[in-house]
Amino acid sequence: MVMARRPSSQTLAVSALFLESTGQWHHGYDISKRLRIPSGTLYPILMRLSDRGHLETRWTESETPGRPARHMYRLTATGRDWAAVAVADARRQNLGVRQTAEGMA
Amino acid sequence: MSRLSRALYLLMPARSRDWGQGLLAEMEEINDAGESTRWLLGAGQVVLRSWFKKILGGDLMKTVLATLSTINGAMGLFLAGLYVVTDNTPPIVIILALGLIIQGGYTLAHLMGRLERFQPWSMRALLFGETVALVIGGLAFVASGLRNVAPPNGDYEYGPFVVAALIATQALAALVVYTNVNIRRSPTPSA
Repeated sequence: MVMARRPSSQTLAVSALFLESTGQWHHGYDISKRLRIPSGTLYPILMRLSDRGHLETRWTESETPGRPARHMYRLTATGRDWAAVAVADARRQNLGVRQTAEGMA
Repeated sequence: MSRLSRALYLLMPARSRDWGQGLLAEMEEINDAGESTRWLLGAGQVVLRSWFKKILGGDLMKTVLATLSTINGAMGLFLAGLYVVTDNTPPIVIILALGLIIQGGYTLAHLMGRLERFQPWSMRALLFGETVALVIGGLAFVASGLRNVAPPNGDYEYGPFVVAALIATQALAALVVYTNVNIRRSPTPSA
């Protein structure tokens, strides 16, 4: 029997953030700051979500000239479905999905 | 800092370079030195994770097995060096050293997929070798443990005890990893 592994609290927090702003592109530093998740934890989560087809990526020019292009992320349609179920499940089981820093303030 | 970023980017496995580039581009947007350093440390962590994932498929047990195999290989090289540079070292030391080097090296090569072209014989050899290692290492572990309970000449012998433990532990981990993989790969009987 194959058992699906429950997403970590950080994965749920990242998914919840994307869900709250459906369609909006986020960059890594913004997500890291808002959720207080370090880059070493955040990027493996983003990479995993992308590998599973839940996240799409694009490059965009930095607002400051001369700076390198930034990598942006948002949920795909299947990612939105998956995240909605995962976050709702976690909330129903009272697993405590971490809120954004603004939400906690 | 930018040289370090560039080095980290080059260290990323090719498949993950986009992510590495994206991660390091964010550093330019961070104004606080402490935060930049933490971000860079995180980037180092991502590089290590990416390599582990690339080599071992992100499997925890395979990571444990790779660590144990590396320790055994290193211990084998140490004992071989000891045998070469010291006089009157009993020949059993070089036999154990070669055993550890072969056990650790072969398992690492298998984990890294270097022996794929010799399948299924490479897997059979691994399972046979690790089973023998588990039996011999286990017996030697028990025997050297019992000997240390009441040492005949009053000297405790920890060397054979440690080597036997290393051989048996790595063999056990390899059998857990590879017999588990084989079970998972076997076809599911239809209902």
